[in-house]
Amino acid sequence: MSADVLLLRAVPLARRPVVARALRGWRLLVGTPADPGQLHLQWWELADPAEPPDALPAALLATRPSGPGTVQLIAVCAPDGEHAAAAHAAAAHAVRALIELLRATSARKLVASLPSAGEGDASLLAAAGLGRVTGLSEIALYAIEL
Amino acid sequence: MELRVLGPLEAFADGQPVRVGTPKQRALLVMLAVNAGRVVSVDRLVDELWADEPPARAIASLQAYISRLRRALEPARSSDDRSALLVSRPPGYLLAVAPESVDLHRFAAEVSAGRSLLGTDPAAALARLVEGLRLWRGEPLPDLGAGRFAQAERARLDELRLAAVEDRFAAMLALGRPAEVAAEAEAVLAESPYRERVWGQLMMALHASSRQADALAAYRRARERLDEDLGIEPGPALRQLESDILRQARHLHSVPAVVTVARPVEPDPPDAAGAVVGRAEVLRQLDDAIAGLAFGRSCVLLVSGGAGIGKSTMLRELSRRAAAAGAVVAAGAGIDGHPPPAFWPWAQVLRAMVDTVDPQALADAFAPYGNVPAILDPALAAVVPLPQAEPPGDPELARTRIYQAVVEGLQRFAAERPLLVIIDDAHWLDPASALLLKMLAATAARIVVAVAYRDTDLAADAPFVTAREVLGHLPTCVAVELTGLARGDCAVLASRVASHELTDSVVDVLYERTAGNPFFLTELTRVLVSEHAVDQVDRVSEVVPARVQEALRRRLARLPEQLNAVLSVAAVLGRTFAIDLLRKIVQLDDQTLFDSLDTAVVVGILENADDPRLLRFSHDLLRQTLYLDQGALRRAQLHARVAEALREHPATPSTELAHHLRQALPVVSPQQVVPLLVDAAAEAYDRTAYEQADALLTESLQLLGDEPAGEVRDHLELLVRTSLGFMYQVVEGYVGPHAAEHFGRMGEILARVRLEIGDLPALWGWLSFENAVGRAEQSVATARRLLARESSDWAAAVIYAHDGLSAWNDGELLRAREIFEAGARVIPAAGFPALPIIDWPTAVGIHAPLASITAMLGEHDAARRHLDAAWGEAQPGRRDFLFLYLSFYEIRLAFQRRDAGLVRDHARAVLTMAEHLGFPEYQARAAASLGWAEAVLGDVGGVARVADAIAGGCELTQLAEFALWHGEALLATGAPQIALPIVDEGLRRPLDVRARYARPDLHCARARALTALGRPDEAAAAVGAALGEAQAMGFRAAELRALAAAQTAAL
Repeated sequence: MSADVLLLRAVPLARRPVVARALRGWRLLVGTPADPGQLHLQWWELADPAEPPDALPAALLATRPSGPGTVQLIAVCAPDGEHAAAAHAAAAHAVRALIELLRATSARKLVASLPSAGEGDASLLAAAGLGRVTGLSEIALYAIEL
Repeated sequence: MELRVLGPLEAFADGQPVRVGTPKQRALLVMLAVNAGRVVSVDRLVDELWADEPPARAIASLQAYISRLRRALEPARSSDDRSALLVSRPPGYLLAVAPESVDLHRFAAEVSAGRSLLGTDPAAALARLVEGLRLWRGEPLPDLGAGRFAQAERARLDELRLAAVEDRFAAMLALGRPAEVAAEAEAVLAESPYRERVWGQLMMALHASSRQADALAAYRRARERLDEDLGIEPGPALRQLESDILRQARHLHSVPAVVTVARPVEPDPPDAAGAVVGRAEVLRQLDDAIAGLAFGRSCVLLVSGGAGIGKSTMLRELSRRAAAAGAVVAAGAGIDGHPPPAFWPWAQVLRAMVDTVDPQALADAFAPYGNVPAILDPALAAVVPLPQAEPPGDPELARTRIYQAVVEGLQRFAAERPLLVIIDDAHWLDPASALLLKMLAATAARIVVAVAYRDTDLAADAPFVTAREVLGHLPTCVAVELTGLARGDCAVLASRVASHELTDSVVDVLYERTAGNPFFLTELTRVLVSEHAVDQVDRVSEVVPARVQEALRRRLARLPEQLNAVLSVAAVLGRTFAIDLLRKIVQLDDQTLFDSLDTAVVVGILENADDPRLLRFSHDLLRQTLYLDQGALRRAQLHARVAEALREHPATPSTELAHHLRQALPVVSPQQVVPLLVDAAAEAYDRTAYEQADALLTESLQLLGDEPAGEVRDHLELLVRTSLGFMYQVVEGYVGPHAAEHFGRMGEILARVRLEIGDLPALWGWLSFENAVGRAEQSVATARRLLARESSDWAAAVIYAHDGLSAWNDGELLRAREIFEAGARVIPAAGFPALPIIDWPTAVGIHAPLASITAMLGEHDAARRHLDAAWGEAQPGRRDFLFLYLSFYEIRLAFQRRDAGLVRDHARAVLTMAEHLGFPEYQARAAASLGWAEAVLGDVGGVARVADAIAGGCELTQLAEFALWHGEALLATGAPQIALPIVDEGLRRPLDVRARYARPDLHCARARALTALGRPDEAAAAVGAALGEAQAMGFRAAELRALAAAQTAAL
């Protein structure tokens, strides 16, 4: 799947089963495991519109509102397996695209947290422009002003 | 809407404050407000606000903030409505507010008005100036940050404000208020100590307040300040004022005169005709610039436009004209390197000069600057007598020396000979070259500096961006934005490339595809010429030259990823596409999609169509580049997705659906595509586009030919061939060669396939054809065998209909009526598939023949009833051929009653429609029956019409019927001697199909002719033959006519 044809789009409720299917065996790059059944989560998929409706996306993100003007990136997931580099690139693409999309909304800040040092892919967040918020020890918090 | 930028941004809508949002949004709105009513290009906005981001991300950010601003400024607007306030207009955005809605512009207007009143009405002037200055609430444009535009604009506004303060002092002095000026001027000078005019006003105010010593002391303060801080003396005006105060000059109380500067008269521009196609206005600007050189004027020409739009061509033309006018031309160009070599274009410029002029002249011009030309291009040392290289010193100083040397060396050269310096592809300039360009342009005298750049490829952080800003503000700058050629110019250019005049249709396609871009047009024409296809419209629509693709890819690479992805889908939809369809496929929410598409419009990739629900690629080559770059498999997948989405719209033309399915063939099966192609063929048939219908159906057969043999292929082939057979029966005649070919092949397939209800129309068509060629009995027997296991009413109806036809053809009218009536009784209300392509309700094929048969039996009321039943089946939908068919049955019924008036009326209607639709068989039949009616009604011209119809071509099987019309027409007009051989010829025809039913009336006509010719015995025999044959067939209507003829003969 060529990266320049992938779109980030909100996952409609009807496609949540596809999300659930995708998450089985996928790798969680950032955040915490999220349940596609949780209605308060907004799922985003990086997908090729040429693919059939039941095709798996290239990456998945989950977000939720977190205070006025702030959106929290709950999870960044991508396929696991042999093509780890491609999956990482797709996830990074998805986070970049999410930032662009959120900029057109009323959101003012995107935040993401990594449970502790060493867990999660901080480089992915940094590549997308999220900076480490200092002053916290237990949780590594990243944020970007939109 | 009111916007205040002379201080922190404030926005008001209907008097209520608006929350504009983040600092970036505020900056964006300020940029647009400063330029209210004017388009601010995407490049400029990106350059000012996102200079530190890559172009694609910067454009995405801009897109997002524009969207946010729109929501903030127009909260009531839905995402479907186009913004009327923050308008997208290529190449950027425009804040559609009146300038007076922005305090900055109101301020400028008040100051301008005040200044214009100064000489005549100082009180009014003062009022306007005070009003303007009152709008200032603090530092102007604080929201804009520290970008280049912001700094320049702030400096401009500060200057404007200080000038307004000075004008205000002038008005106050004129109104005799020197004390106030003296007090306020001190405050202004504390802020701006180098404003000599204010110092002068302070001196004037003190002098007018009888404080001459203070006035002179003020002068001294001014002189000390200027000397200590800047090392300069006060200007002549201030010095003169001091002198005037010292000598008590009288004019100190008078108002200074207004000085006007007359513009020198310019010569008329020379004739702009030349090798360039079109561009008359641009050529005039070039000629102006060249003509100015003769007067010692300099000029900066900024030529912009997309790739291939003709910038380099214009520069070449400029070179040619400048050289012809005696100027030295030196050209260089930026190159696309990472990083581009420093000073490369300037080395080219110097080299070009050496190629043109005596190297000594160059050496003289650069003599004060050592061997600098050789530093730029070591090769110059070999041809230009330059001093030896000096030891390298401080790098910064060395670079400064290069700048100075090039600028001043070129100036020295230009002092001797007018010079044209050309820098092409400036969007690729290295930083040093861009700086040098800026310096030369700002100081050029007797030099035309022509710079061309691609506005579409100019990165926000390109070194040329700063230079362009500076060049654009120079008073000598002429900006030329090139757009596509007009259609007429495209015709000239393409014909020139092709070396012959191209047809209008080819030019139309070339113009449409290239949007007048000369490079695209030339490349496309060249490729077509090389393929000997330049006159083939289809080929013109397909080709995308590789060089064009490369240029377009560069442009697309600057767009945000998400937008590229959306555009790649749009490219599959076609050059003009429905936004709603695109939304269904990309599945983006409205706002996100709108933002993306809006950006594409603003950057010129897309353009608005007349219909607001549609968008269109600015030229088709762009769409094709996007399309082809996706790879065949993905294109096929997308076409399949488009077809799926289109299927949800019942109104989608089948041709469009078929197009997408056909393109999707690598991922969909022919079984999915062929039925759609058949539907598309039916649509083409409805539009009388028979060739297109044939092409679609033939394509279907080819697709099926590649499929493995089997039931599925057989059923589809039956569908396709039935369509072809019916269509050709209509357009070529019932038993024409194409119909024969397809129904013949169907016979083979029907013999082996397991029939399903979907195959019944094929069986119907085949049986009808077999009937028409006289093989009714065998074919019906075959059909019975094929349908042996099929017990549905529809299967029975098919058999009844064709069994009835067989009996009718065999001259068994009573049996035919009985069979058809049985058929009419079993026809179910629904469920039988309509006959393909002609979209014919099958029940009509039973009711209409039954009407004709009952009419022949003399049962005219029953005939009327059956034909009405047939019309009842035909009412729904638009079925032109069915209308013809049934109208012709009306003629038959009227003819059996020999009602010439009614025959004439129906025949006229049939003839008109048959001519319109192009059905030759029905034209001939309608013309013949109309001629017959006209003749019977006393118009002798009717005979010729019948004769023409026969000569125009009628099927042999119908000749007896035509002979009857002809003969009776001749008899009606009193020409029995001519009628007789024609009638005899009709009777000599073999008894094939339904020709036999003409025979009794032909005998009657013969009898009438013989009677008229005085041969009663033969006439009586003819009547006897008529009676005998009519009775044998049960043809009661003919029998009655024969009896009437017998009575006439007996008389």
